[in-house]
Amino acid sequence: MTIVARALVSAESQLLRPDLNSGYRKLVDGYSAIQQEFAKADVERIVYWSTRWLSVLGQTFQAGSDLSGTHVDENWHDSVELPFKFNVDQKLARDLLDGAAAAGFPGQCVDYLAFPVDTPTIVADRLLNPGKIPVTMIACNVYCDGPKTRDLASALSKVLEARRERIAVVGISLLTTSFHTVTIDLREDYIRGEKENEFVADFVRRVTTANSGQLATLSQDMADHARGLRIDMGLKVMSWLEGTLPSGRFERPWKVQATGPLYGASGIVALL
Amino acid sequence: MTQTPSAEVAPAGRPGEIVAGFLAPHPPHLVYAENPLQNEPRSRGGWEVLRWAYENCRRRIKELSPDVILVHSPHWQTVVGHHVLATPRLEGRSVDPIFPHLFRYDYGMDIDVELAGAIVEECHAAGLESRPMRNPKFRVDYGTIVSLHLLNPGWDIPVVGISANNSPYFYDDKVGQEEMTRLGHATARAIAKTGRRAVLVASNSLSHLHFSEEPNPALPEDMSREHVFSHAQYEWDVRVINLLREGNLEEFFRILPEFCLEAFAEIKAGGLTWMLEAMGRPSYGAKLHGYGNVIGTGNAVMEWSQP
Repeated sequence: MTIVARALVSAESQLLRPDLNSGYRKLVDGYSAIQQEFAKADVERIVYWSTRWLSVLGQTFQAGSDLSGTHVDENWHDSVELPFKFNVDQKLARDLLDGAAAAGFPGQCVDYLAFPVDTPTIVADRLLNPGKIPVTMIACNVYCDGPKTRDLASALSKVLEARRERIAVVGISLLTTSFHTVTIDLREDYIRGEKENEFVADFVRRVTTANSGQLATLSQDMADHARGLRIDMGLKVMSWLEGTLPSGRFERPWKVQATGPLYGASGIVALL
Repeated sequence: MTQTPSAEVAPAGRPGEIVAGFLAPHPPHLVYAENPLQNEPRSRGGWEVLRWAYENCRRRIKELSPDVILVHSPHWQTVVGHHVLATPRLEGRSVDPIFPHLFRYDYGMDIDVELAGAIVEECHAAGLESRPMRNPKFRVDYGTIVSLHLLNPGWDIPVVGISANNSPYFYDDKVGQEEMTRLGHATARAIAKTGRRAVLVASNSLSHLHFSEEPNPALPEDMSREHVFSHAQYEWDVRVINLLREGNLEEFFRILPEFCLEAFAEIKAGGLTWMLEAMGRPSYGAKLHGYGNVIGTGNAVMEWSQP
C-alpha cells in the first residue's frame, strides 16, 4: 500500500536494562510510543537500515529464510546474549534488490544460516516489534555518501510504495559516538562530551521546530553542523530517511520521543 | 631466537619466546579460492600468488612447531580495552557479514586459556583495560579465522585471539599505536612467564582502498578483473614492504601515520605494531613471501624470524 511510518532509533544492548539508568528508561519508553504508533497505523512490514551492518561491494538486503540464533555481543560478551528469530519477507527483499539494481545500485540478497545480525537491529526489533511483523534489513553502504544514500532510498521507496502492505521504515543509528573507553557503572552512564551534549540538544531543537525552508536542507545542515564531532556514519541515516519521503525532503518537524546515553554515545528515538 | 622484552623464567623451567611473527592479511577470498572442506561456497581458484605465499608460511610453522599462535584481528573491534579469547574451545559457523557469498566457514579452535589469562593479567599490570572472553557461544570474527586457516589449516595448534581496541580510530594514530605498543609488551611478558614458544600473527592488509562494486558478480575469482586500486596505493605498499624487508622499523613507524592516511592502511588497527613491539622491534629484515591484490587492496604476506 504505502510507507505509513518512518522512525529513527538508536539501539545498544544497554537498553535491555532500563532499570539501571533513567536515560535508558526514557529511550525504551520512546520505543513503546513508536510501537503504539505502528499499531495504530496497522504496520504490516518493517524495513530496517542499520549503520552497524555494513556493505562495501554494492547493496545488501536480508532475505534469510531461517534468520535465528543467539547473538553474543562482541563487546559485552560476558553479559549480553541475545536469542533472535526474525520473520523475514524474502519476496520484499528480492523486490528491493531488483529496484535498487534498476536504479543503478546493484547488490545481493543474503539468505545464509548463521548470518550475524548486528546488535542494534536485534535490540531495536525486540523493542519495536513484539508481534513479529515480517521484516527485511538493508545494509549501510560505506561508499554511498549522503546524496547517493538518498538516491538509493528514493529508488527503494518506489518499490515499497508499490506493495500492498503498510510499511514502516526504520533507520537505526546513534547520533554522537563518543563511547566511554573505560569500564563504567551503567547506572552512571551519560552522554560524553560537552560539545556532543550541545549537539544533541541542538539536533533535537532543529528537527522539532524547523520550518519548511529549514526542513528542506535539514539533512545537510545537521551533517555540516556535526563536523569535527564523532558521529555515526556522518549522520547518513538522515539522508536515508529523507530519501524515503515522496518529495525527497523532510516535510514536517519530527516528534522526538527521547534522547539518552548509550555507553557515552548518544541515542535518539524519534518519529518522523 | 627473538628476545622478548622480559625473558622471565616460566614455572615449566624455560623462558617463553616468540619464535616468529607473520603479517597475515585476511581477505576471505583466499579461503574461498582454496575450497577447503570447512567453507561452504565453492570456487574455481584465484589469487594463487598470495595462496602460494601462505603455503610457504604453513611449511615454516610446521618447522617451528610452536605451542601457540596468537592473532590480533581488526574485525573484532572493541570499545573498552583489549579483549582476549579465553575459553577452552570455540566452534561454530562464521559467516562474513560483508562477503557472505564467499565465506561461510565451520570453525573449531582450541584456546590456550592459561596464556590468554596471563595476557589479561599483564595488561592490567601495565594499566591497560583488558577483558577475557569466556563465553563459549561467542562467534569468532572472520579476520581471526581466515588468517589462522591460511597459516595452519589443520587447526592443530592452540590459539589466542586478541581484539583490536578502537583507540587508533577513536583517538588518533599516536595514542592508538602507543596503546598497541603497550599491548605488545604485555603480550611478550605473558609469553615469557608462561613459557610458551609462540608465533604472533598480525591479521592486516596494507593499503585498504578497494572496489565498491563486485567486478564480476558471476565469478568473484575472475582474475582478469583483479588489480591494485591505484598506482599511488601500490607505491605506498612497495615503500612500506621495502622498509620492513630492510628492517628499518624506525622509518616505518615514522611514516606509519601518513601511510594510514594516504592508503587507508588496515595496519592502522594496530596488529602490526602490537606484533613488532612484542618482538622487541626486530633489527633484522622481514622475509616477503608474496604480495597481491584482493578487490584492489594491497596484501603482503611477510615473516619475521631470526636469520
